[in-house]
Amino acid sequence: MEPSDFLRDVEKRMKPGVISLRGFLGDDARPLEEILAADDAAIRRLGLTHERIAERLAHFTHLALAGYGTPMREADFEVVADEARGYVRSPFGDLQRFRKGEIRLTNLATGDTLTWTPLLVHMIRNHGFYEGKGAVYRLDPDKVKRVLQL
Amino acid sequence: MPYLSPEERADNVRLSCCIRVRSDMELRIPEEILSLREYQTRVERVRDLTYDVREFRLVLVDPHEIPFRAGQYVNFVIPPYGDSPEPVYRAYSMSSPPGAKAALEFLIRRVPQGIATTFLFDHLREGDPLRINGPYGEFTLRPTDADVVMIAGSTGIAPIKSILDDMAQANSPRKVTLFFGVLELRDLFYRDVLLDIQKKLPNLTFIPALSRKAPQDNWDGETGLITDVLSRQVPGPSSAEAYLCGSPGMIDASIRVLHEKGITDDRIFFDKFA
Repeated sequence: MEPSDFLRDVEKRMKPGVISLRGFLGDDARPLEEILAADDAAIRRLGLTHERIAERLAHFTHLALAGYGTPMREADFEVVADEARGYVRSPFGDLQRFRKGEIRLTNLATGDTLTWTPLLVHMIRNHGFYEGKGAVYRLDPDKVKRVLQL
Repeated sequence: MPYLSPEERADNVRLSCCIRVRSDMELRIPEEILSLREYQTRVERVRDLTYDVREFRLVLVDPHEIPFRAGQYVNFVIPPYGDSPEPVYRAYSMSSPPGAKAALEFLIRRVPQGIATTFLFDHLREGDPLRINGPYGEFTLRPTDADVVMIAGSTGIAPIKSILDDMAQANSPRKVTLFFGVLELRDLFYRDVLLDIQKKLPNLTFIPALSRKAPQDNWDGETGLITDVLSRQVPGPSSAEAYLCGSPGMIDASIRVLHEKGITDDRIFFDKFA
């Protein structure tokens, strides 16, 4: 099936150097619609939804930002925000802007960590996109379920 | 309203390309816009201040001077390189005072995966050319006699240092309290520089604060969230002006404390790193 014009344009914007230095696809050779379909299937297999995952990430994002650089703790989780100057746009062409920076979460019980950006929370919720394999901020659905104890 | 943050919409900011003029309108064009231009510079010195903060010193080549007000910023023109095929523009505040027009200093922190800082840290070398344009910004000291509270987070100290240097050169008698917040002791840079400025400005009180203290840190200064430090140290009610530069989260939280101390929005000025 031919990719839609929309996804073709999105994929172009996901390439390195367009919005971010390393882009959003990593070394994933699959077309974007395959990446989306595969992660969608994984989420269903895990009994989760994109919305639920995004909601949990948003919660920790909000907690981390409240510490403005200081690690914040909630139950078995510690999160810290590393904010940078400026905003970044979504490669999906959404009209909102998103704060630059990254959120790092550590599951203190297991030592596992997740790192994501405020933009990624939006892309998961609105587009079911977890970034391509090998991308800097890729969140693998199985790992997300395990680390966040969903 | 696309492309505007919630804060901008609340501040009645609108994009000029998205509004319709239905009646007479008064436009205020800041005079400094007429003096905006591009400058060719040469990197004179690059100095590591911490593991992720560098000081860059640029000598003006053409023109050989740039007039600006303390607290303003310029845009760096980051050329195409590596995986970045197009030039990009990023704003950085001058940390040097306006009196030193022939060379500019900047304090820049590496942003993970950042297009601009990856170039600045990994590719730009002493002697290289760099284009900048400006100056821009209204984060400048207001010409009043009011006491001043300054709050800087990490490289947010840049425009504030420029303002303090400028005040020192003018022998300003204004009372200033500077809060400089960083995460840990290893992130605290420019301590000696700011202590030196304190000697030149007798009414400056410099209060560095660490968000957390590592066991091995030899530190008996303020520790904790900057908002807690402000709550302890800023007396209220206060008639001071406040100048803040740092991350949006830090600024928003600090402003809430300033409000509690009686400092109203008309006396709060910030550069929100956005």
